[in-house]
Amino acid sequence: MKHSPIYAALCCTLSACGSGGGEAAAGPTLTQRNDPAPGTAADSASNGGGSGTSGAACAAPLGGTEKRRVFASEANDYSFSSTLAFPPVFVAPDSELSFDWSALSADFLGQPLNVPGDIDTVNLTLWALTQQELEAKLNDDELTQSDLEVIATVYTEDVLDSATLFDFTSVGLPLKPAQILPFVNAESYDPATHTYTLIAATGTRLGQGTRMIQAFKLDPSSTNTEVVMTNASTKLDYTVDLLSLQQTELPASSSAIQFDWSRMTSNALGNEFLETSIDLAVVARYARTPAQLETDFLSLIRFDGSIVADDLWQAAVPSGTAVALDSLTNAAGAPFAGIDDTGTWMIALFCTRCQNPAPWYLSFLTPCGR
Amino acid sequence: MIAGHWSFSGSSALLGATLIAVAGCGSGDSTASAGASELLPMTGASETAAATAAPAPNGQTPDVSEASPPVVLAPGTTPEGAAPGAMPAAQDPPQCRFSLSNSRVSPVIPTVGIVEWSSDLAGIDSAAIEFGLDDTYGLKAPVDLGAPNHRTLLLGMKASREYHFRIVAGNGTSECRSEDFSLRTGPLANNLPDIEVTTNDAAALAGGYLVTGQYQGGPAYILDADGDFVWWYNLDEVTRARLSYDGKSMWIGNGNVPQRQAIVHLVSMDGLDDQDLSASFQDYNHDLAVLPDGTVLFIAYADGCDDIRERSPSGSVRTIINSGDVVGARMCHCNAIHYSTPDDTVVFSDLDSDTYSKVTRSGDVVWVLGGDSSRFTGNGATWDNQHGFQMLGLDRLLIFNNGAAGDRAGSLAIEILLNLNSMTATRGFQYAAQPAIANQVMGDVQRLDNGNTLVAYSTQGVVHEVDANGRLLQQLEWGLGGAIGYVEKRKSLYGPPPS
Repeated sequence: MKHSPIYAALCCTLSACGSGGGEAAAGPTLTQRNDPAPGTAADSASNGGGSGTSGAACAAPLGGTEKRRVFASEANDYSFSSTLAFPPVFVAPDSELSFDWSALSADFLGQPLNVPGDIDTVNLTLWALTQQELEAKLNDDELTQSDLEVIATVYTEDVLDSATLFDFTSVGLPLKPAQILPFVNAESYDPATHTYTLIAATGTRLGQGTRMIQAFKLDPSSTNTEVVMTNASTKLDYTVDLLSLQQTELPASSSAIQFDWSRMTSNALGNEFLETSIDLAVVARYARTPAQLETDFLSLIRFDGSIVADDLWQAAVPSGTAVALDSLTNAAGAPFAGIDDTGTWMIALFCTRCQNPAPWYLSFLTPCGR
Repeated sequence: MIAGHWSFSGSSALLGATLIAVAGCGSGDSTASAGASELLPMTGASETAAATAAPAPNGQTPDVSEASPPVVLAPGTTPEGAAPGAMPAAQDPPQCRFSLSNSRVSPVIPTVGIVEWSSDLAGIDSAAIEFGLDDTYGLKAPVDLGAPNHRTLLLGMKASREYHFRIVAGNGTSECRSEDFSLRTGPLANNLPDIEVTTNDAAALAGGYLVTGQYQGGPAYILDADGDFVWWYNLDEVTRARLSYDGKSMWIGNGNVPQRQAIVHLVSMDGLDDQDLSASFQDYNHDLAVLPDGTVLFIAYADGCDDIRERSPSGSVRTIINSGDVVGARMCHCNAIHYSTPDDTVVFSDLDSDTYSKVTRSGDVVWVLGGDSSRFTGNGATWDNQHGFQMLGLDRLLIFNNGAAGDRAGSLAIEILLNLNSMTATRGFQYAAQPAIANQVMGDVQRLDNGNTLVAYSTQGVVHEVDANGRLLQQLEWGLGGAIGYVEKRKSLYGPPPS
């Protein structure tokens, strides 16, 4: 009898911004910039009226049901860059490897993590890439499906905090040693060109909810058979600039606005802005200042792709290059009614299928004339 | 603090016009139409709020402000392709008037056009709508003359493009052609998979449409010959998307591996009618196949070994045979099923036993190919792991051979010739990608009309079209997350599946 071979599909986002190595509980690293004092740039941008979009947005009220159209622009967008590192451990080929994630207490975003309860699945993936290629392609959203050789999964059932190679399954079906051992053979999978990752995730959807990544590589000279995941297994270095952007002016207390990104050519990550990649639009309000939000940037985005805010409205964007802001709703189903002069308002556009979870577009909103 | 999660809901685009178009009676040549078409607003149309008048053929915005009297265009209809002199002398050329009562794109799938029309041409016995990116058209939608208002779907259109179309109707002796109309398709759904198309020899490609779906995350979709999305519908974990035998709907099934919840939907090609038939496909997994009478064959989980079942158009389901009874096993993993038209039989794949088996619909075993229970001998009766396949007749088939776990030689497409007298199986055409692609789960093959072969490395997110010599003509490569299900390429999105 045989079972299905190892399932070789890694779906959707890998919650890319991961990296490993470094010291335990090191968390993400924020590169400090020499920017204007918090608030300064935002204030000047506000005074300057943004990129020209605010002129239309703040023009005299329109009649009837017509909506104002506000265009996103590069000048209003934040900027984000990141690098990943997940240094491998070296293990003996053709061995019943053991995997241990019991030491995890924080994920790669630095957010608290309880094991085993928060980890639902642990995926073992084999990439036809060198360590450097994998890190770079993951960071740059350039991984292809064929980069992934195989994937196998352990379901923790909220109990397991460790497993061996023979505990892994393929599409839910058990794997015999003879079926999985060939994939840890150094002759078949040259360590120079192949990399393994152990991915601990919340949820059972492959490739989503990633909390930590630990890489490992085969080394015929090694006798080590243990792969231990720690808080430092994945290391993310990033730079974010929320303060140089020109704020976007909108009429206060109005949501009759079409927010349009059809004129965007590059996203905040410096890549091509593929307009059909946007599938989520969010407006959020924070009590924190823009400078505080910049400092706490990763805390705004959770591992599962959710957004953290004091008040939040969002809408899926099934198609098109614009979203009606009055279609955004909060968790209670109440529609967005417009911004005011309390707190910090933000609009963000996301590509949720992309490997890097950072929003493609993020701008602060300010009432006209403020 | 509030943590908002991604959630997907919202309205679909509604584009297009609801119009009455009074168009010309062609005389075998649309350019002969003498008058301008009139496009009039349709009173009481439900889509008027979002309707936009389709531009007139000359690119001008049609006058939709006032109902003008119909314009009857120059008579002199001739049979298509015939010179005017070929007209029967005694026949009065009919005067044809077309009324376009609806012309829009589907609000669910905005690359699908919906056209409703009528004509005063007496005795219409055939009709079609020609359509394309310019007024040379190139695509043709057959018209079901029994459909209300001759409702016709325009399938295979790209997103966000202006399409031209005209109605062609005949009554056995004459043929009328309407004025040229236009219709703008809506935008692509956001976040469809990224697919990179690399073409080495465009002239050698078979062309046509690729029907498939995302094994992880959905949707089901259709790509045109350029690799552009022309149809999509969201369901999760699609391993099989297959047009119904009449071509009017899409069957979409999930993998359901391991057994959790069978999902099988029948979705009209305009996306407006989605029938969730999962309850009558209890235990469904992997694959289904369609028969001319509307019956659907499918694989269903059973204790140890899967059942091969069929569902009638009325919804009744019966088990044809249990796969374990065919190969003498207690554990099976059936993963692909096809209908063999010439002999009204069913062929299915069982991964665990490395076999393809043919059974009659009454449950008699015709043959078993591969594995320990093979009734054939020869080099075509041995392989390790397989998924999708295609019957190329009674005595040959094309299979996707995954290969053994960890086998770096990669997966193969293998044509197997069956000698049904000597019960020998011989390998014929064989294709191995260079460099090798080892695809462990799913995988499919199809011989195309021009002799090319389609090879889908499904969960590696790669599809190759190769010629009879194994020359790679085109590659489609999906981005990460692009694990696809089974594939089927069709020359047309209308009518029965490829033979």
